[in-house]
Amino acid sequence: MSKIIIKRLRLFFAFTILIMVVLGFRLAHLQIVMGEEYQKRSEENMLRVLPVTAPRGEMYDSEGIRMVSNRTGFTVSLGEIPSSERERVISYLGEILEMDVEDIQEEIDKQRFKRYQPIKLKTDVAMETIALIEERRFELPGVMIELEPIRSYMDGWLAPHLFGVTSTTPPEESVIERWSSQGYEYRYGDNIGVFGIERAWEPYLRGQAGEILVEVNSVGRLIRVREKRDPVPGNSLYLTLDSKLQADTQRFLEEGLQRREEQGYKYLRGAAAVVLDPNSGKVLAMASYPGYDLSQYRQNITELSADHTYKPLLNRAVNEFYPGGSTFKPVTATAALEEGKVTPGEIVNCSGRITRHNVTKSCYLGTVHGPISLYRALVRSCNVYFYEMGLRVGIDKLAYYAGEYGFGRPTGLTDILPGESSGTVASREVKQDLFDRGRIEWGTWVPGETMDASIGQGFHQFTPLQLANYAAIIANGGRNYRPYLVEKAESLEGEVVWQADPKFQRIDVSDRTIQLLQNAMEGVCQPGGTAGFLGRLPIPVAGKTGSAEHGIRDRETHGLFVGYAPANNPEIAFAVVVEYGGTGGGAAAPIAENIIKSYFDLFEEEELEEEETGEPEGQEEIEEQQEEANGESLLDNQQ
Amino acid sequence: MFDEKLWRNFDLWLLFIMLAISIYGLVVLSSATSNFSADPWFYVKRQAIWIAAGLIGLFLVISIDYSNFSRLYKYIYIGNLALLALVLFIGRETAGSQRWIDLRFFDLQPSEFAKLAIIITLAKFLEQKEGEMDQVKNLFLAFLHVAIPMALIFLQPDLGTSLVFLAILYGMLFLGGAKVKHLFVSIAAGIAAVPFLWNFLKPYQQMRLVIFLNPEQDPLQYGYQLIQSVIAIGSGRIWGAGLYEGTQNIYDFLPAQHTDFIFSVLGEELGFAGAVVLLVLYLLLVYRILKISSMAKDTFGLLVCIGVASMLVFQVLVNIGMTISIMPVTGLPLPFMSYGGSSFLVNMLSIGLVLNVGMRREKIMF
Repeated sequence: MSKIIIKRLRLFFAFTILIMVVLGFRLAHLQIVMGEEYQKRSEENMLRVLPVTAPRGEMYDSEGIRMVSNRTGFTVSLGEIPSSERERVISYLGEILEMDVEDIQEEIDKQRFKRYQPIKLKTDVAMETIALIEERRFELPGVMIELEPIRSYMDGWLAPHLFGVTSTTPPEESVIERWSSQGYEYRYGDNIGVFGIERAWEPYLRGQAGEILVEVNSVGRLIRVREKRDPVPGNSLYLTLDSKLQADTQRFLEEGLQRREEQGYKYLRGAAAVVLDPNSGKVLAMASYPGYDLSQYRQNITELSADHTYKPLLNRAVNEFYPGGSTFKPVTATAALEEGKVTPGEIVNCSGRITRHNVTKSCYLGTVHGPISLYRALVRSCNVYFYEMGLRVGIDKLAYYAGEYGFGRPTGLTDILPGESSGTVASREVKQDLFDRGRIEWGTWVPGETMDASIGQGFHQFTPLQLANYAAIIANGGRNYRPYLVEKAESLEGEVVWQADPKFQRIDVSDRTIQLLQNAMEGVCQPGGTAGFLGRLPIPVAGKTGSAEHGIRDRETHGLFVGYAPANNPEIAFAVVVEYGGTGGGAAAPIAENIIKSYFDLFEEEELEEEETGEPEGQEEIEEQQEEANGESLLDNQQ
Repeated sequence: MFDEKLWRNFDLWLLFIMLAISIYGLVVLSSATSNFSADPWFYVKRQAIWIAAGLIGLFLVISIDYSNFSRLYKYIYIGNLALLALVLFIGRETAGSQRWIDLRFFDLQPSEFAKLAIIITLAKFLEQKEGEMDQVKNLFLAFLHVAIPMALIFLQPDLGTSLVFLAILYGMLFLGGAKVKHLFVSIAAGIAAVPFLWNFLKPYQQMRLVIFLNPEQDPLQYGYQLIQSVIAIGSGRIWGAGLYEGTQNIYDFLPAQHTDFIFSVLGEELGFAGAVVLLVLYLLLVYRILKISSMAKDTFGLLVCIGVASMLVFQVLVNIGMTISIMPVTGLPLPFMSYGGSSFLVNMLSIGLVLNVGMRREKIMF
């Protein structure tokens, strides 16, 4: 290496040392010579940057009615308290706010990394309390009152499971991390959706927090605002939900349960109903009973989550499973027809019972249906016929067609979180899996279980949403739409930032088969069918009843009803489930009838007729017809 | 994969010093970002991942004999220009400048990688012209070599990074045999051209360049940043306010306190003592790099090391100088300290290059 290079390397290093020394000297000047002065300036730095909460996006129903919005609430926060007064202020404030001193201390500790940001103690504080604090301003140094948007609901009882709630951070670490990883940042005290639409649509609803640069005095009291960056409100969501139909549906579930209770049903726990637009997948109503009041959620959460009998927090429409019972029979019919194992005209003789592979199974209450075709088997809900069909096609084909109708997999509703459950379709794999996990004692499939599966019993587990989606598929002639709740998201300026785009998948079932099912399901809702009393409605309805056994002894079956209306040109498809409510015709179909009446505005017409004739339609008559539906077996026995 | 002889010449000290600065940076970062999000460790975790990724990159770089980089210099130079041109078209715009290409996992900042490309290709150029760099013609070619990528970066616009290229150029020319007289003349010419070049700058760039002369002139924006940064550092005094205790930091007075102004947090919370420790660590880092360069087996290796050293020293000077208001605001990150993916990775890779030269200083006989 040449001498000149060595010399220049040394020069290079000397130059580096020189740079470090210059920086060092400047630092020594700032930190040692001038340090005291700068420290004083730092202490006197009375500017604070405070975050301003952005109002969350609002939610509107399909008619543009505002269902979830914001109002201004008072938040009491703690700034810096002079240390000599600390204890006194905290205990005094605790008294006024009715909070334990320990709780306040805990809130302070939680925020130890940002002592200098005001600590939110209580949001949405009552006006009287605020007045009390204002009067005692001088006894409460460091206490701040801020205005903040608070969620407000048109009706807190309306669709609580769907809207969900927000919580100030941190609710769950996992939730924050998920959003953080997508580039959304949260500070302590920010609102974040915890479940429901609030959670699933968090990025759209949250908006962007603003900031103000304020000057404060020595006790943390605001003197003036220096600079301001306004928050950007979140996007508004326009939902597919019809708030009137939703409210009515919730009410019908409650009334339906009441009526069943009066009729002596002892194990009623809850009910659920889903109403879809079969031509797009729009969720028009989705109700789960019992519900709760969103505006009181925080106050009641302990009580609500402790109720393990009625489980009010559970969204039964998407997170609870029921065996489909007889509502499943159209699937079995599909399998038999598509696989060529039966023709619509073939007559099977029902003697009330069937014995195959050493197992004997019978029709509901031992009913004898006699010689019966596919149409009548569906209309009368004959078990024997479908046991026979199930054995003819076998469990694998049965499971395949159940899958085609969307069972055992998510329907694709992603607008609420936690998401829908996928449930299960009875199959060899499902049974083996249960066995592997030690849930059952025997892993091999037996023909008796195929028989159970063919009438919707056994290993089937469906959500009401899946059942409604299934009804929609039959209603629209074989298109499986993805159900959705949010039609569009709009910014404050009215710019559409997100727009739903209904998509469907054609299912692997022939038009002819679906037409046969449609006819039979219309027959179910005409005199002689298991929901024959629906024939009195001015519009034709198609549906299928189900009374699902659940394996719990001494309890009535779950009452199910799936269907659509008008039968000739469907506008709505629905599923109604009443837990331990007895038969589908007795418990669920009357609720469905009311839903249809509400959607098609038939109540008003009825009232008008009443006024004209002066003869109100007697409740007795309804009861009578329902009994008729229930008592299908009696009728058939007489045949 | 490695010959045992190669490991014998591996400069562990250099690796340790680099890691020491990185970990020091992580500690300061944890304080600077504790305020940022609901998860106080969010940035620290990400930075830790960057350090790990950088180390992997570093070991990949040293596994390839550096003479391969020398061989492939044409492709490197052209590929680099292509990337820089690309960012002008498809780059993601932040704060008015297009510096990033969105790679899904992270934002690629081609101007950062361009530094490495220029160090390698310029070293090759100077090696080819060894002994002829006293000619003005060759000097001019060297300037042109750097000017083209520099201009593309200047257009993004990213003034700070384009200045780093000048530092690299002068450092390498100095060791590459250029006449000191020529270098001084060119600097003088450059200074003379400043009034002319000034007009090419955007108003905010002009403001940032002169504001340090009189921060009070713009007390709300750039001046505000500088005033607050100086107050923060000054208030740290000898021992600092203590980690997580800096009020300037926690009150959010410091702008970009996890990236460009991380040194202000260090100054406030760890004081003069903490700052001097960092300066000494940088000095040791440069010392090790120069030591390796002096033992390089060829001029290319030597010049690569000098390029890396020039790049790092210049960034330290400009970044720390900015926070203590003796240098213009240029938005250069502090090597191994500032939060940020691309620059961190590139600095690590550059150390990898130096280690590579050191490991292969002896010609292996087959």
